Amino acid sequence: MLRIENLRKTFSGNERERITAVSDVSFKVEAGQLFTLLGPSGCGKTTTLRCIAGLEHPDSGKITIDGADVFDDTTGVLVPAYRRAIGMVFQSYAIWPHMTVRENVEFPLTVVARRHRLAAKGRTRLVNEALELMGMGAYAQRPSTALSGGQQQRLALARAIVGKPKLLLLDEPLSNLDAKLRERMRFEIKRLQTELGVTAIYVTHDQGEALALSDEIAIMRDGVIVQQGNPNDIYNQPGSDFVADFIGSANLVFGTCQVAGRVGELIEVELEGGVRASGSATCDLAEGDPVVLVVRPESVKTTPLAEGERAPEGQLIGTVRARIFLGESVDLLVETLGRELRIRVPADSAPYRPNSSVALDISSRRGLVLRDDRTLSLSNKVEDELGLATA
Amino acid sequence: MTITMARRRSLLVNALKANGFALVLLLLIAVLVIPPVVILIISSFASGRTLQEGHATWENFRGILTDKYTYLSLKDTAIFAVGSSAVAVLLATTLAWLVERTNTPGRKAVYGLLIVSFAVPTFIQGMGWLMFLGPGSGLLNTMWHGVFGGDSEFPIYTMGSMVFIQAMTLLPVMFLLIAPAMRAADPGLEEAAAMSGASLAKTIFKVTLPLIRPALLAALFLSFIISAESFEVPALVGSPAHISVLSTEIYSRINSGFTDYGSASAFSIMMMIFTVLGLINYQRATARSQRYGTIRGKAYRPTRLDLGNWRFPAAVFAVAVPVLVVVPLAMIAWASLLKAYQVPSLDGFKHITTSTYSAVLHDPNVTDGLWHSMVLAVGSAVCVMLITVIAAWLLVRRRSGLTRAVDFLVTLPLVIPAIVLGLAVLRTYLTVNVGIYGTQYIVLLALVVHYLPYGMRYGQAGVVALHPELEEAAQVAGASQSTVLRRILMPLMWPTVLAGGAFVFLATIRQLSLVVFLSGPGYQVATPVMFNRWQYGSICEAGAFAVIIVAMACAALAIFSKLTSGLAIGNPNAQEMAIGK
Ligand SMILES: Nc1ncnc2c1ncn2[C@@H]1O[C@H](COP(=O)(O)OP(=O)(O)O)[C@@H](O)[C@H]1O
Ligand SMILES: [Mg+2]
Repeated sequence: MLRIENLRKTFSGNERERITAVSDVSFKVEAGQLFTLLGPSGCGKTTTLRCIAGLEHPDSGKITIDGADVFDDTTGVLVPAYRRAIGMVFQSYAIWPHMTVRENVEFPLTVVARRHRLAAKGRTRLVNEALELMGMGAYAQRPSTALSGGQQQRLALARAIVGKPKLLLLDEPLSNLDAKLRERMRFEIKRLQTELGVTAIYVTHDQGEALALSDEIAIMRDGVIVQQGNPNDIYNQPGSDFVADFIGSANLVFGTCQVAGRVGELIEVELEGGVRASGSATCDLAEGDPVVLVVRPESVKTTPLAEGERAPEGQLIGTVRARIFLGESVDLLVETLGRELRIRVPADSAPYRPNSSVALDISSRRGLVLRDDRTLSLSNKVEDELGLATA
Repeated sequence: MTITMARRRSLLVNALKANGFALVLLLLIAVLVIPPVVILIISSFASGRTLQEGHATWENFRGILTDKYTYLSLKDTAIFAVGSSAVAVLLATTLAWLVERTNTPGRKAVYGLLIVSFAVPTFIQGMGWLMFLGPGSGLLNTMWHGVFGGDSEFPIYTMGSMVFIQAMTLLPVMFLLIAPAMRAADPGLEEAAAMSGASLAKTIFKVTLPLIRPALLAALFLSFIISAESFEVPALVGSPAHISVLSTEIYSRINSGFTDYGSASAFSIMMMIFTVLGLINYQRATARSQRYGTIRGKAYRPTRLDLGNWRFPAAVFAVAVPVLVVVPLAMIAWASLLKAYQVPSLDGFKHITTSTYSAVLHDPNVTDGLWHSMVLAVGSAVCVMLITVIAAWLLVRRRSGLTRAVDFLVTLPLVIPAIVLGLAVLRTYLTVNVGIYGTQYIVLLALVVHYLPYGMRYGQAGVVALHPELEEAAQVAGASQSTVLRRILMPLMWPTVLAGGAFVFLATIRQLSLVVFLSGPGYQVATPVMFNRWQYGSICEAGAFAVIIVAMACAALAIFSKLTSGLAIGNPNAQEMAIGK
């Protein structure tokens, strides 16, 4: 349905140098899928989306929508945005303030090429359909300036789908909503997309949104895609510490590989504090390689320790720094090895008081072992972005 | 091979498509703006009556630089500009402080009176002042004689009264510029100073004034530029007193028996240096005041200083100053109701008549002038806003070397004083005969060039306020560029266009110095016709004419502020730009 090959887009910066927003991006989206571009802010997601929409003129590469080339630098093809027949929801919603709700939704139908244009009656039917689908039927005659944030969002969606586009582009559509509404709209968007069977490209920096909605996720960083896969793979098989860090609130613990092993094998690791643990390797590793053990919050076994009590052999000792009640479970921030780990325990487990000591068993074999190819600055950056180290 | 050819060609086509519009606009603006500037510079280095028969020479500059009267008029320009801006800013600051920071009664009246005087052309205000203060028949002198006898007179034709009258015409604009800064300065700081035991005077000088210093500096430089360029008051008051400033010097070199374009052009270059210096300082000051501007915006409850028993003298001052601004209007209205001018008195009421109005309205010079002024005002408003809205959009949305060149050319006329531009345009189309000399088109052209920078400020503010995604959403929805323009941009930009157009319209009706050389037997414009009446002593006719113009301006102001819900007069840009130009 959509195919992007070696897309590159640079902007002229302030001085002589150019900013590379998208350096080399390729991906393919099957019809009917919801494909998500996920990554930290500034990684080039919006720019990629705008290139697809035709709002940016890429430097090089090729974009094919539904079998037709819309951009190809080798042949010079560049189809303008208004001929690409796509629907788009903007981050700012871009509701036209001088039109009513109905006029906003009807606009795309009134500006298509004359030979495709419907008569007034057909337009009204489509507009009503789109408004009903978004639960906005009652607001049709309102001035579009008299809408709440959530209603504006629905209006923007109705406008994007009214022309029955084959491709729907959404740029952080939920980022301007409050938390509760965001949760609800997430499901509405998914429902809408499956009901219409439209192919959608969804841009977000929120991993929760991406995991909940997507058929396929591409994780971007500094203008390139670092990993692509379905949500399950991305969550369970992160290919790098960056992805592991970004995708879940995983803990990263550094250490060295004890015995060489191949992809998928269980590998023993000695961690910074001398404690041993094991996990499955995500790549071939040799003895002595620096590695990162990815430990999920829910796979650490915790036992409270009495004052002055020592941790059992092979376990870490830590101090509870904070306790976050989440309803069914409780997250503990535990300081150990000079960093903080996030650990999830059932809400009905023993009370962990702040500043009490706990023993941590991270040898559960459910962790992942990645090669530690970080540069220092990089890992700091990842941690800063996620607020893990200092949370 | 063929692929790269095709690619190159399509890149070229795309580049042309993207920039073709900007290129056309650049050419259009260049054709409007550049010839007058070039011809003015050539003129200043050319001898002879026409450029065709002249040759290159330093004679013009040598001539004016060796003439001791040049230095006298330079000195007088400086005294006049510095003096009137100092007086205007001092009065405006005092007034703004009383109105905005103290509990002086009568604040509404102050605003109302000042806004009314805002619609009155500078030249008309000057005429009114002369009727009020003038020798022999002036109201003030007559009253003086009536009470004290004798024949000592108030010395009206002096530098002092020139400065005073100019300051009074500047007062409304300066007040409207300073008052918002006064209002926004955090009173908490003043209170803190007062708590720490500082006296009132100390608080004002150590806290309040430093707080609004950037706004004061901006007002000072702006009024300096306006005064250094102004023609109306120097022509009305200075000429009889034999005080000449640069603008009247240029005027007399063109409008005397022997037209000397060469030395007038050389004077113009000197005047532009004055303007450029003022503008550089003005821009520095406004840049600084915008930086201060970001600090405030904090919510607070405005508290007013209690003046106690000083409230009543303060109120008298607060209302007296703006009343003084309106006094000249009353004098003119009085004159317009008489056949032959006489000082206002009970006896005078017996002679009240509307015959002057009917005489004026039956004079084809006057009716043509009024009609032409209206047509020109509409024409210049439409042309200026059309060009500048497109230029502003290109500049904001499609920033490139090309659009920056457009920006430069559009802003260039700001450094050309109106009277200089009038001269330059006249000279240009005398030299290059394209058939517009002596027609309405040459006047329109000068007006459009002059108001381009002002339109641009409105245009840019309007485009910046529009989120680019509003246009992009329409594009993605399937609208071509022209449809986006028609269905999205134009409706959303309309209030801006209307406000900018209202400004250009009003300013055109007030305009004298720009059109004084261009209006003539071929094509009469209202203000120069009135100026001539005054010069030839037809005071009552000039008065009736002035009342009609003021009525027209007020009606336009009312209509526009209704249409734009106050945008045109509420916009600080408009106020600072209205400037008696
Ligand atoms: N119009 C532009 N001009 C200059 N730089 C831009 C422009 N648009 C985006 N960029 C830069 O390109 C990079 C990627 O931006 P963007 O695609 O908006 O990131 P994201 O949507 O992932 O947050 C950023 O560094 C941004 O500053
Ligand atoms: Mg973005």
